[in-house]
Amino acid sequence: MPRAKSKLGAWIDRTSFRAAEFLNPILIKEGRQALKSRGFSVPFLLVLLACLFWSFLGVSINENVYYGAVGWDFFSAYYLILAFPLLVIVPFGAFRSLTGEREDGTYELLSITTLRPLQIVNGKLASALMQMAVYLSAVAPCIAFTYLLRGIDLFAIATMLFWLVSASLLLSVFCLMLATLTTAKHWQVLMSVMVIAALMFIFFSTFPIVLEGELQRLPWGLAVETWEFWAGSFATFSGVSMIGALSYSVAHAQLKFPTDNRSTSVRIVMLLCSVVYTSWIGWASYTFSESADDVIAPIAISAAFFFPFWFIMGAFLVGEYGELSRRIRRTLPKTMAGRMFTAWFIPGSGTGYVFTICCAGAGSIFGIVMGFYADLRLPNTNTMFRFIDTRQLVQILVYFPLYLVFYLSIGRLLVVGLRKRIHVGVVASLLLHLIILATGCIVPFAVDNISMQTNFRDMETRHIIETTNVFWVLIEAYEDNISGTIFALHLLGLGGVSMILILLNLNSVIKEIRQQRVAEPKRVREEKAAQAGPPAPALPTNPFSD
Amino acid sequence: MISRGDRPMIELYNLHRFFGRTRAVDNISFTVREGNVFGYIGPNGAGKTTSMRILATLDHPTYGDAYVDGFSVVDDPDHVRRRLGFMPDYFGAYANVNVYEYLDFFARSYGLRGKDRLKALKYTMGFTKLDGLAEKPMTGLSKGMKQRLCLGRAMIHNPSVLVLDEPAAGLDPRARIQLREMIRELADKGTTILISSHILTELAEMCDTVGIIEQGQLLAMGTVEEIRGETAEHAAVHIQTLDEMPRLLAWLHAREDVAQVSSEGKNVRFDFQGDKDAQAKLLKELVQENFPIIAFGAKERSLEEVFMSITEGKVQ
Ligand SMILES: Nc1ncnc2c1ncn2[C@@H]1O[C@H](COP(=O)(O)OP(=O)(O)OP(=O)(O)O)[C@@H](O)[C@H]1O
Ligand SMILES: [Mg+2]
Repeated sequence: MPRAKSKLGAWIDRTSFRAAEFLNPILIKEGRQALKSRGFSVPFLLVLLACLFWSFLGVSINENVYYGAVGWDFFSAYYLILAFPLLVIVPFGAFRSLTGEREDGTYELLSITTLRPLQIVNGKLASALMQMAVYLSAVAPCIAFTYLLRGIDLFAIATMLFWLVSASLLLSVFCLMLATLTTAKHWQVLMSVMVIAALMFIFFSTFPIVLEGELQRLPWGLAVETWEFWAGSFATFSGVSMIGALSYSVAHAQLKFPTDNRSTSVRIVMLLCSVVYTSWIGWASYTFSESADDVIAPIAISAAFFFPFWFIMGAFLVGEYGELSRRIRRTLPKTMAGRMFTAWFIPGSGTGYVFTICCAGAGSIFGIVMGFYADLRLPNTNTMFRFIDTRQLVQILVYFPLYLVFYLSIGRLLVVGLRKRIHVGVVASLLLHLIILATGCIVPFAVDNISMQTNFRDMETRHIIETTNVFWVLIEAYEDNISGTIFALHLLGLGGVSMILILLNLNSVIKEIRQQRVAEPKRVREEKAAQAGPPAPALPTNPFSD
Repeated sequence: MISRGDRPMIELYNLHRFFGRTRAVDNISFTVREGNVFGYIGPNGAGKTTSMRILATLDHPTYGDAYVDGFSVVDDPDHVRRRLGFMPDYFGAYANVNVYEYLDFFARSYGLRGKDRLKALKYTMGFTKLDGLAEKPMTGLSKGMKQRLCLGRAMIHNPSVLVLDEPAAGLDPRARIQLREMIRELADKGTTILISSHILTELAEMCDTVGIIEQGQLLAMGTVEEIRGETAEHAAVHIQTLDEMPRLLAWLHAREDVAQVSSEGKNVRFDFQGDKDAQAKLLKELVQENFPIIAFGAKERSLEEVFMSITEGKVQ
């Protein structure tokens, strides 16, 4: 500590020293680095210069400055200047800060300290937030100036900045998650190119949104005064936070020790994501609708997001290994009831498979119930919006989980089979599932189309040929081209095969959930007892630690 | 040297680590007791780094397990990390960070707060003689300073076990002696130390026990004296003869207990298998054979030679 001269200086020194004890070590280190680093001061100065430049330019070319309300024009420009560091530099910095540590070998040194994985993720995020704050403070005077120019109200400024910071944080978490996915150098290089391209794309796609003032009216062009605006904003924000939470939990899990439980927390967040998603869809479609069709159509459309999400999540979960480490087996519930309740949250390929199917099934049932309920309770106005009815909704909500079970079961059998020879990880499992899905769609589609050239068929036969082509069948289902007979045939065929596939999978699933709890070793129990014995000295705790 | 404690601080049980076909660590077991210094010696690619990384919870054994103070590195890495300091064979530098900030960062990462942290920093900087370098940027350090900083980082949380991977690599003689003194001092305070090198002599003076490893297997283990003793039957013999060199060489080559004969002018050197009595008998026979011998010397083989004879120099 530098020696302080005055009393006040000494007090500031002491207080900041104490305050720093509460902060995440990574934040402190990166803060210190940033102060000395050119990689940080140069972009900061550039942002400052860009703002100044635009201020002078804007004032000199805009004759309206003295009389008109030009605040909005100025604000958009500053906003876009700020968007570049927030949407590109900060998230990419988060990505690089982790991959860079891996390259330099400092990550290894950090990982064997007593810092927990969550603290590492939090530290990196805190440091991203700190950078955002610095960029914001660079642009803050200019933004205050736009308010004085009139034409823009404080509320609009606050909302727009709020969404920008949220987006920046979301992108940072997402990039951090990507950085944890692979340790192989070539993948990281490839990924960093893709990340920077995606971030640039996102940055440029904000231009039309900002310039047309869309953000002020988020979402759905509602007026600020209405409570629907707030509900909608909150829904959008909760959606954003859910993606963030999922990325965050995956990043955290990836940084855990290999014998640690990397799955349970991610599964809980996945479940939470779909609960939040379905609740908002259910609630919003009810609140905003006058007829049953207004409910059924949104449900059918949101199914097209819900089930692919679970297919991808399922493909990842199936890629887990079913053999639990002793470390995880120590934490298995003792009672039979506890085991029954939590079994599907415990890591493993088989439990992940059942977990995914249960979640998808629950979503499907919820949708169908919602549809029928709307049909009973709300007037059927037969408006021009009536493009999906309950019968169709049932079709769609049966097809989706059916295909999910079908492809996931094949994928899992393949993963389990391949594992007898080679190592298959979660990412490999996802790729495998996508390949199987693509094969299941392309092959019948090709057969159908090539043979069509020689002998023409009616649509019904084509639907049968395209049975495994999930895209074909679902597009037809959304367009209401699937007759009852075809639906029954598909159900029989796909359902029958899926049943067999489930049975084939069942054996290894049961083996997984039969794993027994093991006792904690004596040494660990001793240590715990010793730690619990004398009261620990009161140390400052870290607010970012959990 | 005496062993200080009976408590096993490092235990390896049938440790295996395979990389595809390469058996980097192939069934290694040994125990190091509290306050002991264990020298881990082997040629390049022997598996030293791999087994040390497993101990430091950076890698995972294919089979077997290792324990630090009774905690498994597989099942309880958190407990292991709290009491183990690891100094890898690379530096691991941050840009724009000076020596003090670097140590401060790791002290915080090990959960040291407030006065504890300041005390640990002061002690470590003093111990590793980094006091004068506190403000120096990490990237501008010399090799010797870097090694001291690495050691400082590994011991900042006062670990009871230190695992040092080739800490003496690239050090000048003075720095080596300094390092040796530091290690002895740590061991005297009760720290258990596992230290690797590919030079046996480098470790001979500071280790209580050494283990010689090659191709992932432990070939010999014991005190330096024991290791030397196992091969005490060998001696390096030097003879000077006035004449009859070709006949002498032929005679030597014909003997079973003579190996690695080399000659230069009037001097012959060879490796002789046999104790002092056998050496006396050899000299007698040489004289009886009428070789004009004017000098005969036999000495115990150096540690280098012991090491060379134990390891075969095979690379995987
Ligand atoms: N990540 C890895 N992937 C594949 N092979 C590896 C890996 N790490 C080590 N090996 C192999 O394991 C063997 C032992 O390597 P290790 O680094 O443990 O040797 P070492 O005794 O430390 O050698 P040196 O004295 O050169 O440091 C070598 O054959 C090496 O090629
Ligand atoms: Mg090595």
